[in-house]
Amino acid sequence: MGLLSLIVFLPLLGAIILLLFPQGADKAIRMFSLLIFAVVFVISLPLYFNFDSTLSTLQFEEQIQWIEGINASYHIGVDGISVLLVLLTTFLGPIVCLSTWTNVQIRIKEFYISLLMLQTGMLGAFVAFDLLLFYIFWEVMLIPMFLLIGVWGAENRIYAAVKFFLFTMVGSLFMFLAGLYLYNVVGSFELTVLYDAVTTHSIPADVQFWLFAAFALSFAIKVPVFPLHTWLPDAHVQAPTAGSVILAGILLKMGTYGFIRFAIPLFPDAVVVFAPYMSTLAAIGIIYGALMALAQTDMKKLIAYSSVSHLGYVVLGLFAFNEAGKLSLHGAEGAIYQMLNHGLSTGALFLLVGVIYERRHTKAIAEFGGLAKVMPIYATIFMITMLSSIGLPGLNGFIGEFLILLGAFSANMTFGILGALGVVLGAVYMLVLYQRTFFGQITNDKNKDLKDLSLREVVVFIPLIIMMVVMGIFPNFFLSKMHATIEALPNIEIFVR
Amino acid sequence: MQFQVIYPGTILVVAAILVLMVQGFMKGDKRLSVSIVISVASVIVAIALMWQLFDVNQTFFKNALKVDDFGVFLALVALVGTLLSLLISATYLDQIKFKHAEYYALMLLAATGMVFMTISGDLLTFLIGLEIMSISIYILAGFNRDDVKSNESAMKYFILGAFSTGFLLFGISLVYGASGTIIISEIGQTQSPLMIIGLGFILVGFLFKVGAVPFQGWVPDVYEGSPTPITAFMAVGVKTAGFAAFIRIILVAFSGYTEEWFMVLQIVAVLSMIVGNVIAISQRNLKRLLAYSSIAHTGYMLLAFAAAKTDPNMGSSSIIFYLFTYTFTVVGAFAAIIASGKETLEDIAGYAYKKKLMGAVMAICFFSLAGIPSTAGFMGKLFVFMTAIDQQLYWASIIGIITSMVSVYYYLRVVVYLYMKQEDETAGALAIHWDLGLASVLSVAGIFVLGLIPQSVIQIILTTYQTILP
Repeated sequence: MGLLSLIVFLPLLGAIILLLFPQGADKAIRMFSLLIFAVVFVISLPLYFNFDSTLSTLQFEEQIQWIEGINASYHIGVDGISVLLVLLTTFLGPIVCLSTWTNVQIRIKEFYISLLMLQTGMLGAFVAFDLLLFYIFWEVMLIPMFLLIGVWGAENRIYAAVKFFLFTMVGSLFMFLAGLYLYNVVGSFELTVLYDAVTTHSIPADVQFWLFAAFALSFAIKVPVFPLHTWLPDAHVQAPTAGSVILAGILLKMGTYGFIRFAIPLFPDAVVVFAPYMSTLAAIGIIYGALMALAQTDMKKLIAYSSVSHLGYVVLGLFAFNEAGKLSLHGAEGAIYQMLNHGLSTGALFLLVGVIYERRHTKAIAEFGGLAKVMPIYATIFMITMLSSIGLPGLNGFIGEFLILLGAFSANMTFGILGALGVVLGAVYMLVLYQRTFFGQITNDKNKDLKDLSLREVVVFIPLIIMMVVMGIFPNFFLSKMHATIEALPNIEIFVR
Repeated sequence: MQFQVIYPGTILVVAAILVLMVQGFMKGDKRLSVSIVISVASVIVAIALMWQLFDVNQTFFKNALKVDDFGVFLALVALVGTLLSLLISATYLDQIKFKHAEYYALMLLAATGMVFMTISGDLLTFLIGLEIMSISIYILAGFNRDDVKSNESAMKYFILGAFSTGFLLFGISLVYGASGTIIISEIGQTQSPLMIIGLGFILVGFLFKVGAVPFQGWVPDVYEGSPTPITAFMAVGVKTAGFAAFIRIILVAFSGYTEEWFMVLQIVAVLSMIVGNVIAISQRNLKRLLAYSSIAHTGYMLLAFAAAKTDPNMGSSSIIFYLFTYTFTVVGAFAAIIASGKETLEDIAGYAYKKKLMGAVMAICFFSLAGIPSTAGFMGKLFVFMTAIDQQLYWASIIGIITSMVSVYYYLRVVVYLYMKQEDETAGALAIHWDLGLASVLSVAGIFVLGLIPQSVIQIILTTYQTILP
């Protein structure tokens, strides 16, 4: 059992141990889950620091024969892309856990069990290098998320939970069939074998179209790409704060990660054909998400639509193919960087909304105003997070958006322009939100006695803020990790400018 | 050796007689406890004896029995299904306050029939096994005799079942008339138009027994009306024995008529998947819901059966594996339904908070039925669709996947009621017997073992097809 397996399965083990805790031992349950999340984060640090960024191959690799009859193996490892996402997941874990300290009051044990199982599912999906194994983790994480929304969510939670589950399931079942077809052609679920098979052109182009369509549908629902995004606002608004943070912070990345890991390198011929359409949808998503965000009166819904817009950038970067069918290095790197940024800043935004929701039990923007007067620390943290989200230079969001736009411009001018327009709109809706919530006089008496952040809450936000600044000032520290991997993406040619 | 092969069947018959004799010597509740101990012990012994028969691969009693790995494995699956159904029976009999130990004797007799069906070498042994099994189950379906629905289901099952047996027998006669033999491995050498008509009649009998469209009419009513453990027993035991016998007959005796049965089975598979999964959406009664779901699951197995046209090895292996996964899943689901003492969706609202473990068992079983990865149901579906894709049944596979999506909705709804609806405060939680708990634990263990580490089972299954060939 290697380090990576330990990281993946420690949360599951924690969940099983939690079962033995007596009902009502709330404090112990919380402390124990926090401990598990923290330990997972600490032991995942060596992954990052011992990661050799000059290599494009898998590191911390583990491979065990699993189902011999069908050539499926338990094959896990990290490369330059997944190591960052694994770190993001383990980093957000303890933060989310700490943020739930007081706002989850019913069925506490079950809540933390779901949270820990979700962690295992997400980590597993990021490290799996076997299609079948990936599929299992990919689907397994649906169940805890479904329960998180459906049990601990708001009034309309059941509708949102079922919608979330069914949408994702529809996509994944088509991916399941396409995966089986791929297996039938290649004879293995092993990702490296699949990559090799594609390199030797054993899959005809017309078949690739169908397979790409099936994989892309599944990932596009998860991202979500316009027009498949309708489940997202519902899920976000109904989910408890922790659920929203994980959903926005990590779960959505599953879709974009799936694109760069499976859909793009596995079907190179189809990708070139589909790239303009995907970019168009991404550009529509960017503008549409931003406009919808402008029109929202509910904070969570606003941030949910901003997610649609931001993930549009990621997709735009991932499909920044030029006319020669080459992928822009800047676009791809920016996309992955933006995945991390979005995880931090949108995760933090949902946490911030959770803070105010816990105090006032409403998320309607109209209920607030002048909060900066009573909650100065909260206003400051909100300000930094918001600036990170709209891409202010010096903070992390800027680097990602800049690289993506650079890639988009060098690949296709139109998409570059549309993307840049989205940046402006992004600034508008976020600043309007900030102004209406924090500036001016306190108009609502209920807000007069609001307490500022407690020490625990400040502790929740400090690591996030630090990371936003660090990622904004030293981007190369992170970009260097993924560089070799992206250049060596199988079956995809890269261009620099 | 010759007698060793009938030990498993014999021990079950002896135990059944013993159970009946016990009634004369004991009184009150003791009779039931002794009966269940005898029954469970005899099934365990039968499993152990059956296990000894692996690698025998011979015919006995002038071809009346053909003991091969294929038959032995499926007999084991049927016996495991019997064991699990026996374990969930006591709690149910307690609930309906209808304590007659003949129930156990009949279950053992039905199991005997199943064992002989799976290892039958000629059509006569097969038919006798089928009748022993069916007649016992007709009685069991109506065992809750104070209940109108139970009576209705017994009547319906008996009349329709008798008809289907008539068809089957007629088919067998035609095949005998054409080929001059009832030995399954020798029939295949004959070419005659009579054989095709015979095949048609035999298929009718088969599709009726496993509850496939268009012979599915009896399934919902009989599943709903029968005592719940018997419903589980029908879903796992009868289906396993039915598939075992018919895979053998159709793949061996009718190997020259693949075109004919391939088309029929493919169409029936698609229709079963659609009808089962679509009608299940509107069901509020869990037993009826599982009845329609069982029609759909039959459809998935028939899809693999159709794929056996070109790759009989993978086809039959997928069906066997699916039956094995289905056994644990379904008995677990029925165990949880019995434990809740309720039958409708509304009644189980919030049940998972009243009885945490049983609620989790029910949720896991329904996730497995829906084919969510890491459960046995997923692995079963994986092999079925893998085989179907491999044999280029693309349209049937796509329809199968779409109906699976539909099915996720109604399985998920059960979980929604379990965990997300307001608790029904009025009803108190029922007592659960230890044996029902044991059955649930075994089912959940089976679901996860087959769902996560199926390697050893698959290895055995993949070699079974070779052994049925003459």
